[in-house]
Amino acid sequence: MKILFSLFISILTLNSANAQDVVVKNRFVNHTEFGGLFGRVKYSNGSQQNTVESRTSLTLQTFNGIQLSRKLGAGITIGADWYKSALINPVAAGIRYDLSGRSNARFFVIADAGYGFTWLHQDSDGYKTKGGWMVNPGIGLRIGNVSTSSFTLSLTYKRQEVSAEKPLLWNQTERNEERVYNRIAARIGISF
Amino acid sequence: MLLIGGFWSCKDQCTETRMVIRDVPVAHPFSEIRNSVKSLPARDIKDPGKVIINGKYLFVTEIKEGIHLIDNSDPANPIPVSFIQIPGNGDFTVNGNILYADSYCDLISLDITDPGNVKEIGRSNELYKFGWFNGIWWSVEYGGLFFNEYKKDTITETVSVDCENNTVEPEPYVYIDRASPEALTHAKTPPRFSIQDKYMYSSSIDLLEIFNLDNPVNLKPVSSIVLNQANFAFSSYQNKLFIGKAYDLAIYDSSNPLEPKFVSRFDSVTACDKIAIQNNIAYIARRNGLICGGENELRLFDISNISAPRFIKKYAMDGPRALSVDFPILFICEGVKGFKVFDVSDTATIDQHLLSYEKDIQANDVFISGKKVIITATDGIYQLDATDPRNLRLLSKIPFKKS
Repeated sequence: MKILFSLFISILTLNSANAQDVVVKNRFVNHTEFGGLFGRVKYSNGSQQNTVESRTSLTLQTFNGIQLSRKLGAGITIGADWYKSALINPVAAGIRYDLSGRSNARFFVIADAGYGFTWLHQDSDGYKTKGGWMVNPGIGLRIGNVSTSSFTLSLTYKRQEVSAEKPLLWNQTERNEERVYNRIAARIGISF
Repeated sequence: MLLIGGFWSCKDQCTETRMVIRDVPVAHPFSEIRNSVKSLPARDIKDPGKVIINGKYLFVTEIKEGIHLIDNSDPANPIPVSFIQIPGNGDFTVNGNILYADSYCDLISLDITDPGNVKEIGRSNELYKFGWFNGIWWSVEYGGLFFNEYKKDTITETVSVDCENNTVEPEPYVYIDRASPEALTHAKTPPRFSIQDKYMYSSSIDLLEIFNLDNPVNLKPVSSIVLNQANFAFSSYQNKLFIGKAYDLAIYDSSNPLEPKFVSRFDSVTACDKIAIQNNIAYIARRNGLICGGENELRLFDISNISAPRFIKKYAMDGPRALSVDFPILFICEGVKGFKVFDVSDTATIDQHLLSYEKDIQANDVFISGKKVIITATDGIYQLDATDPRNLRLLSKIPFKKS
């Protein structure tokens, strides 16, 4: 996870350096989205055979930053993800990089990497949930005039790590859970 | 494609790691029982099992520990010679100068030419999968010998969970459902051996293994048949094998010794019953107070047609623990009620032909050799001269050491 985060920072730095060659317009940019996190889980149900279930969670996030170049915007993404047993607030460094020119429907790359906190999470008795690293790369479609606010659709992969100490059962001296939420995030939003 | 691929591959991965204090089974390495068969100086008898007279020697099993070797040249004055240490011994048989014995899971053969210096000459490893001594089970499990011993240990378990704080029941530890010690009070140890002609039959949990007695060094079964159940009684008589199981007595025709054929099932017999067979009559003794239930009685069956055993008659007894027949004489051990001798010439009037009754011998088991009767009683081994069954003559008594 740290390697991915470092890679992300490297890309960001590289792009920022290239951006010096073009006219930089350091205007404020915002990209706010909401949608769903979709995935599955496969687990062993006691002594029975494995069980597979679908998982869907609500996600909300806002990216706020600076347009470093005509194509590249960089900033901070904060959000909230309502997993069933953890409310995670990811705080990430993020970029939005436009792939196409000035048409009214433009693809752009999304890349966020950071840490998911449990500030707003409330544990059940006996549980102690801790956050973890998060990455969220993907692609989006910006619909609207370049100079005005746009409507966005995005599809990203989201990996969120969480750990939890759990209440002890029968003769247990320690009980921990390591969670990795691997989800496809489908979001709609606005950008200006 | 990205969407489809994403939906296919995106799986939450949640693993729960637990440190749990568990009762962990303790398995003893097989090496603990091997390489320790040897002759030791004679010692006192504490917990006797089977008794065999072979030539001038008396062999007495010390349950779970070995075999006492006693010079019985003068039955009035038996002299202990040595003790053959055999870990986990319960049953044995003798053929000439070769003694075959079980040693927990192994079958061993011993050269007893020099009784003071017995030598192990053959071993068949892990032939028997389980057994018991005085109600305590052992089995071949967990890569060794398992004596139902457990130790507390901290185990790390990792399981995949549903990511939602739902408690997944830990995998329950599987305790093997075995008969309680009380259920085995009728048999100190499972019977293993029976000899017919030049073949030895040895029963394990699911198989009846057949060994050629001509080759006591290379103890490999030459044939086997499937039994499917533990046996509690095992004897052979006139080309027939009688194998007592939990709820019946299976009769096999062993006219072809290498391929015994199942003939019939005799469902009037339980695991607790003691069986003696002679002259086509099966004498079956049952004692109450055991897990099998029933009354104190002796039942007679005509087995001249082994496909259809026929009930003859039953007689009330005081609590028979063992019996033996030397037709027409029947010897019955009645535990604390003593030792009885019947004339069974007339199967319809056995109760009217009590020849002798030794009330002072608390007889638990009886073995016959010619006209000598060996009784393992509560306080010692009695040797009686039964030349005149109406007047048993005590030859000697080897007292037990009180433990």
